[in-house]
Amino acid sequence: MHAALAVPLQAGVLPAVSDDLVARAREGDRAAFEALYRAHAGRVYALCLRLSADVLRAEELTQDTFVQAWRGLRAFRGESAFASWLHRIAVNAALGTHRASERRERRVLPLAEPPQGRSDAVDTGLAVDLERAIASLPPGARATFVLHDIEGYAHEEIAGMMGVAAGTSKAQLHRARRLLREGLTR
Amino acid sequence: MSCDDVRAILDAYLADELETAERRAVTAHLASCAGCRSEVQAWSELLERARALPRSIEPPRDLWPDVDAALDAAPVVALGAAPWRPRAGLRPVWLVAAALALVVVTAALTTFFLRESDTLLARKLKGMPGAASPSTETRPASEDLLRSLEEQNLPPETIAIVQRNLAVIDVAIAELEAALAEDPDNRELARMLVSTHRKRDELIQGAVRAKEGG
Repeated sequence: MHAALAVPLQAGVLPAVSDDLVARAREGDRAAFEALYRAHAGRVYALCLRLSADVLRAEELTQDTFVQAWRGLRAFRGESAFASWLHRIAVNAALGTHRASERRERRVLPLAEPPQGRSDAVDTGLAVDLERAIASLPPGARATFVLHDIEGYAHEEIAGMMGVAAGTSKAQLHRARRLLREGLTR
Repeated sequence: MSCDDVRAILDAYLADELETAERRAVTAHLASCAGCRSEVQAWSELLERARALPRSIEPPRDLWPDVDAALDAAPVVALGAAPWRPRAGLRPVWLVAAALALVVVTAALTTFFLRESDTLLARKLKGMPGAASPSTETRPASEDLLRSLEEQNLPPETIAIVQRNLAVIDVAIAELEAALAEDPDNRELARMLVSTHRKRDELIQGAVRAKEGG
């Protein structure tokens, strides 16, 4: 019964994007790129917000992600889905930032209001509690939890992105879950 | 199997990654331990709640105008930029050199974030104690290459293109070195620094090879 929890979480939920839009954007069509931005900004921002736990930084990271994507579109050959490629850029940008700022004072996501997201059957109170708890995690544990348990990346992928061993990713995830469990039952 | 043993492998149990014998041992423990059963239930609920979180959160304001403006300020590798036109009479070999330079810089700025694995870099970084070594390891070679490029007597247009793209890479190198100064044990930053230095070398080598091949 618990094995179902091991099923990849993001399969099928990435927004579909017209190949034509990507092709046009690759040729420099700014309107096509804006359409890609409109289709993906919410998911990229959600990812950046959870990884950075900082609203203003999440905005910056979202912008950086799309600027990097624009610069790199010609190198994008379509081996992976555009959304997956874009999200990898966002993850790399966010992880690079959190590594550089790990020693600075950590700011906690100011979630006075629940995120205005799109999801089926979300209990708003529970979601806000969980978002707050995630934001209060240490950066490494938070990144691992977000990437594994929310975004559905495998430990090997996370290890590659974070520059750590897969075992370290597993240990960080265990720590994150334990801290969340403790934090949510207080 | 003790409660501590069970709780240490809850992740693997929930992911159904335990060997059969170990899984049976956990199941047997759970049958007789209400505390651990409660813990399993709590972890399962946590993961369900995580799965139910919204995947998309609209930014509090429209970020597109800022993105749009940033695209206008993008460096020379930006799409949509007017193609560079050589002056009349420029030999084809310089066209090759210039095109190669732009391709290499484009790759430098994009793979900067996208490259996942690189065995050469892995060897360079293996056992690297700190962040300074990639810079000091690669810079002398790069400077040698730059000197050899200067000795090639390239036309000013080609030199200008190479130097402009070198400037872009050097900004990235400076930013990485600053980040590493702040976080000297960060292997990922070190890896990116090595990669960026290598792209710098490749840019210069590409121009030299184009000259030699012409």
